[in-house]
Amino acid sequence: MVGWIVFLGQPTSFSTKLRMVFVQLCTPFVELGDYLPFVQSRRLLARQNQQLRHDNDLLRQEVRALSETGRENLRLRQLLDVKQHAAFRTVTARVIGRDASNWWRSLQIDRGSNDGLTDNMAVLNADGLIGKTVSVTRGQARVLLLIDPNCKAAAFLQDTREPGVVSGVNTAFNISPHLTMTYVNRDAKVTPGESVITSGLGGVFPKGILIGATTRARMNRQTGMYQDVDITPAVDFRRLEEVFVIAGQE
Amino acid sequence: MKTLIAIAGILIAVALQARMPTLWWLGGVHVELLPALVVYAALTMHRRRALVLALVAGLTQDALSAAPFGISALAYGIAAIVTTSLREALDRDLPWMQWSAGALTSITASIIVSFAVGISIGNAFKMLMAASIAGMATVVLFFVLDYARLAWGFE
Repeated sequence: MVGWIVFLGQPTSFSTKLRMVFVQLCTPFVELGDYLPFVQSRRLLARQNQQLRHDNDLLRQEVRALSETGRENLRLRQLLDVKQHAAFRTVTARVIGRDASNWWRSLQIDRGSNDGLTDNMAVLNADGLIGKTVSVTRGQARVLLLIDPNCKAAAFLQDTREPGVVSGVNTAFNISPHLTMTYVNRDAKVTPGESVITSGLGGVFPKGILIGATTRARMNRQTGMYQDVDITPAVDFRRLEEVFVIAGQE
Repeated sequence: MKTLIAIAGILIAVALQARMPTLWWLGGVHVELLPALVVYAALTMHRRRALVLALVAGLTQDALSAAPFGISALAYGIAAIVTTSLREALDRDLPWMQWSAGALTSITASIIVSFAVGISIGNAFKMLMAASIAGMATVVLFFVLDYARLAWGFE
């Protein structure tokens, strides 16, 4: 039995297909929650609001992106080598389920490969970065949240441009989701409240997406070679209903 | 037929588990229903059927999670084997026994998962919280399903 389970755990086409079968089996039951009488009115309201939310979120994201673009412009003008950002094709998705396990942080969304989604696509909302797609089936996808320690994003501090790697912290003593930025230069001056944005390195997350704001910095206890910076996420991971998936460039 | 009903029960339970909000004020855990179902099957059904249901429960949970596929099935499979082996010595009608069996199944799953996610003081605390909640869910599930069996005459 152990051998079989270990075999299943390998990323083979068989285990992927078996996983897809189970996802297809479970999804109608997960979506059933929307049709319960006590949540039906909420569903109708959500539908009515969806278009407005979508427009509003896009505009907010655009303002944020423009602010970052402005800073970028300033730097690039000095270098006389301007390369403009390409616009992204986004797919709006609804959150239909959370992670069934206590030990991973992920979401299930109602868009999949039929909508052009593949693994390792960035997922965000108007507030900032949410995570990346990890397991995509035809009609659904799983989003590994940034607050999961297995999801890492290359980032930098917006004002000082100090780079680092942001990931979730798996601790039970925090009463809210929490992020840490590691590998920050030991001599870097970190101001509480400074914004942290994606750096675009790694190829999964585009540059300039807001991650959160710094709260405090401390020297790494084990090595003392770099700083660890605590971050309050910009996104409220407890209340996610609609998200955008960046599904390529237009 | 009974196995199909049980599998439908597992699908509903895992769907409920995936829809429930995370209790951040309790350390970021949410209510687990599958350990309760695994214990109920192990203390009520034939050993082979209980094992199959435990594996299905684990695979279903992994399908609705970012976990490596099969890790919960391994945990629930082990819990089902141990529980069915001990069931002659266990009085399944005692609430504290039900609570303990549910909590131990949850802890077994957590310990196996900790090989993948790592162990820390925070995780150990979370493990205990999740186990306590799973134990409580087990007591409630035994009450509800035993009542349903009596009412509808299931064996």
